[in-house]
Amino acid sequence: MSRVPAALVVAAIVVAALAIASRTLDPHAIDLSARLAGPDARHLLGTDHLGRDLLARLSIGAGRTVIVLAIVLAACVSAGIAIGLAAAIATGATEMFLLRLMQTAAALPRLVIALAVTSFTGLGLLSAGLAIALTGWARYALVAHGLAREVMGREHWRAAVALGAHPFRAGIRHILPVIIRPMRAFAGADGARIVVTFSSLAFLGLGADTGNPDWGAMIWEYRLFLFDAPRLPLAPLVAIVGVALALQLLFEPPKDSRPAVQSSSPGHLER
Amino acid sequence: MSNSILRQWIARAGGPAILVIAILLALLLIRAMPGDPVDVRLAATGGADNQTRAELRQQLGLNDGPLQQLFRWITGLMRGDLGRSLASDRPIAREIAARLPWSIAIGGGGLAFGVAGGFILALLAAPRGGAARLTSRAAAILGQATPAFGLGLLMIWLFGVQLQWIRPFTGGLTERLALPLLVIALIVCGPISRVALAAFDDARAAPWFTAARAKGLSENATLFRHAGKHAFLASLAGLTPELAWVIGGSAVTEVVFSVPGLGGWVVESIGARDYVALQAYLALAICWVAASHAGVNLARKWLDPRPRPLQ
Amino acid sequence: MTPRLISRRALAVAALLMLAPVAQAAERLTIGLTFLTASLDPAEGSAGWALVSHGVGEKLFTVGREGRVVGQLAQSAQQMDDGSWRVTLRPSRSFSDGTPVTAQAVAEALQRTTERNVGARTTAGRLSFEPIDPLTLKIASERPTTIMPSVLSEWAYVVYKLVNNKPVFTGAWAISDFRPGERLELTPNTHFGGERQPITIRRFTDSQSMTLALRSGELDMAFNLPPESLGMLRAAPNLTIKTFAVAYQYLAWLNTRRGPLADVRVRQAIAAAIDRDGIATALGAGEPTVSAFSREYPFSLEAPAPKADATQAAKLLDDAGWVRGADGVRAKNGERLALTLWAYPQRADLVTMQPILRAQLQAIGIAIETRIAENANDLARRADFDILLWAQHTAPAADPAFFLNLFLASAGANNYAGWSSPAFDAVVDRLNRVADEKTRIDLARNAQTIAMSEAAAVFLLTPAWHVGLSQRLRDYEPWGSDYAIVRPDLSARR
Repeated sequence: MSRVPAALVVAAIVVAALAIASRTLDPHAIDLSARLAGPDARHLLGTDHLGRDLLARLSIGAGRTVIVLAIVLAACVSAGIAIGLAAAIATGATEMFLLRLMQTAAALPRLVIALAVTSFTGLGLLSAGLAIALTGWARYALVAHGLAREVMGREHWRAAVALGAHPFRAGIRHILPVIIRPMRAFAGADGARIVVTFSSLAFLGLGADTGNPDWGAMIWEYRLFLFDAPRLPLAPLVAIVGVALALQLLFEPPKDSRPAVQSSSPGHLER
Repeated sequence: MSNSILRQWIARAGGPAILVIAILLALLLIRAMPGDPVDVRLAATGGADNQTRAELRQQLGLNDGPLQQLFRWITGLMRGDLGRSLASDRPIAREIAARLPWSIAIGGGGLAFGVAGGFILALLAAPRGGAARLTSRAAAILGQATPAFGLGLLMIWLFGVQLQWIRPFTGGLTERLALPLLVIALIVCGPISRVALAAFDDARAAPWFTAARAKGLSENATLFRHAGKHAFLASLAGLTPELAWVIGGSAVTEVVFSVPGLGGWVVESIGARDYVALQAYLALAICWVAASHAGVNLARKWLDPRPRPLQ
Repeated sequence: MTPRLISRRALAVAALLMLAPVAQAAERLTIGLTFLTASLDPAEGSAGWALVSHGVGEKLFTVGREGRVVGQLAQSAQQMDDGSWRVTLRPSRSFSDGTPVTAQAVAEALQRTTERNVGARTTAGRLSFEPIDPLTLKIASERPTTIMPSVLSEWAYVVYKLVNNKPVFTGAWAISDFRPGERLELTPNTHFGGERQPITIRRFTDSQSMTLALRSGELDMAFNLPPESLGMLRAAPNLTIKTFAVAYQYLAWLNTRRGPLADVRVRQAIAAAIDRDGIATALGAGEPTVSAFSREYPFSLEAPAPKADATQAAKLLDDAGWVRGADGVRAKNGERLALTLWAYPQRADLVTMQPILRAQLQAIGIAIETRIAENANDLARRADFDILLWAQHTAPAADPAFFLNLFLASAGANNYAGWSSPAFDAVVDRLNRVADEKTRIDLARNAQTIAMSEAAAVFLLTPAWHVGLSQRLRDYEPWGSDYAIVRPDLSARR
């Protein structure tokens, strides 16, 4: 880990600590006599146009972002590995079919599909997470499939199958441990995109809940204060970019490994 | 038995078949949305009695089952009729025709400028170290970490309000397109520059590069003349994931800049439960991804006639 | 070509893009709105309403600045013994193509509208129009009505004439170009009289973009600015912000069908706890009210809006058996007093009000969950809410019967609160049959008092909206809500 991401992680921890500290303030408490107040000892980042504590609201958004990220990743990784592995092991027409399905799903516009889904399920944590995962899993499946194929070309796999192991059981024993690590790297890099997608969903705000200030929704709500009180829209924007950046840097491939250009490799399937 | 026949069929027809399945699934998903377009339609008029609502439902053909409505839409589609918008009552084809040029200009133009910008950035960075390389890397990382709406908002603030160089909302065509295009291009150019830069680095490490240099060519000229095509091919490959992203990315951008393109329209259509509009939009988006992928592949084949392993 | 040269050329192209000509037509006025007519045909949807608002269409009658129905293209109306009406047109009015407005032309257009547009049949059913002489029309209605001028001032009955299947109107401006969802170009109607500038109406998908456009000097008028923008806009040079009362009312529907709100005491407690002044402060404008109608109407309720009374609210809740628990939330028989509070994003003010009401109700021991409904009409109809914030023009045709019948009467199609009161229904029933204006005012007020006492709909605020004007338009006075944004007296300063 180089110094830049380490610093970012430290910064993130500091912000999180501050946020937890500010949890004692009610993020919903209105104070019309202290509207747009600047930062002070009580309100570390000041208040918004209704006198609500900005940091307390940011901290709620932080928690929600992390949970959505976790849901998307959990759904994508598990579905991606299951379907990708199944395709590789099944071979033949089934593999071809699943492969086409993954490619189609990977090509669907993720944000628009998620927008349509959350507009009627509401922008809850689970619904937003699953809506993003609805198209997101395919990339993971393609990666898992590619990796599994690679393993299946190796000696120990052929030996295991030749010895009569059931392909699925052999898959779990021999392929899964090998692909877990690269999948984790891919998921980490994809995390930045997930954070940005979720913020876009909240920014457009279909089905959003005002009681739960997501960072994207806060930017929408505060964007006119770019003139009077720029900290209001800039704080959540910095938070989004900061988290996405930290995820990017933490999971960035080492300098010497260049992004692959082959059409089925993970590097090619960014976003 | 026919596993191999089936496999062949899927290989040949599977793409389009799954495309059709994807469209159908998307359409059914849209139909599952609760909410009544009649209410949305009548909302602007201050409310209406039950008789009025019933008549409007009849008029819009909403009394039939969802599958029936879908079938009617698909048969219409085959005749080239996209149906009429439930929200505005205008033919969808006309709605799309009015908005498509904006979206193509912003999405397509943004991609084109992004590829050009990324390629140039890589070309500038390739022979140097330090700042140029860092810029390319920073652009790539920031491009993935910055939401398009945030970038757009900052640009409106800077160029429209503070500097007043440009009228992003009411200006002429160039003025209105400049900032949205820039947003898309800036976000796209990062990943492209990284892919292209990697290709340039590849080339520099190759023996033929040293050979070319030995003939007395400068490093810049060698890079551009001999490695340019290789890097451009890599940029095209790097473009593929952006082809799907640009649909969502330009939609958010259109909303921020109040551009009357397809993206803003689809956000409104979702709110208005305008199934007919959404069906057409999704079909169009899926076709765009399929067609643009095919286009990029064709361009790569044309530029690089070397045979490639299948898939 | 060297890379350096390429990059220089790219920079030149970029520079050209950035510095595109910023020339501006001297005369043309640009107006920003968040809505634009979907069509130019008044027989389609609510196009008639939008066309009048855009300064293009006129009706036979309209609602004047004082909130009364006045003749526009018509001079007078009279009811005959058989219940039908005679309407006399003003002489010497003409369409924007120069042809005169005749009874024949009016009858043809309005007959087409009433047949095709279901929205035109809301109050009196289908109308039939018959020209009697060049300036007189006979009008009959499917359901009898004592207020035909009011019906004819509804948004659907815009007067037009189809020329080559394109509608031609009578208003002060005529349409020169129309890009749906984007903009409407208007040229002065030379047959209207008086001098005016051409206008571009630009539509914005949201009011914040519109605000930014106004701030960057792109607009001469921006209509209905969000309250959050006022501080920034007032500080900007060359802009004038005007605030004017509108005939919309902001109210809260309390769902009487289910849960704690079925108990009238809980509803009354909520009504008592609401601090209307606080809402007005947060919105930057607006007049606290308990009436169903804006004060500009003669039939508005004259009672002053009460101050918030938390003690009274607490007492009502105690009486109803809801006792405060350790967490500050009231409970009864183990059930917490938790309610959902909905608003919809199309009216940004309501969303701003949500957190304030939430705080006010939490103070008296009610746990509130705030939600946003993309489609408020659908939510209201499904009655899947506890409290629903609502904005409604309650007297679009300057008559109280429309709102009271449709929204509060037991059988009303939009009785969102699910409230039923025989006393209220009886009063409204009489209102529907009486023609005398004085009696109608008394009945309307009587009905409002009954509704207020049971707190099914809690009226909160007669809002005031904010309009931003450039130097050229700084003398323009907005009135008439969003039903008359571009009026004939809209003109740039010399």
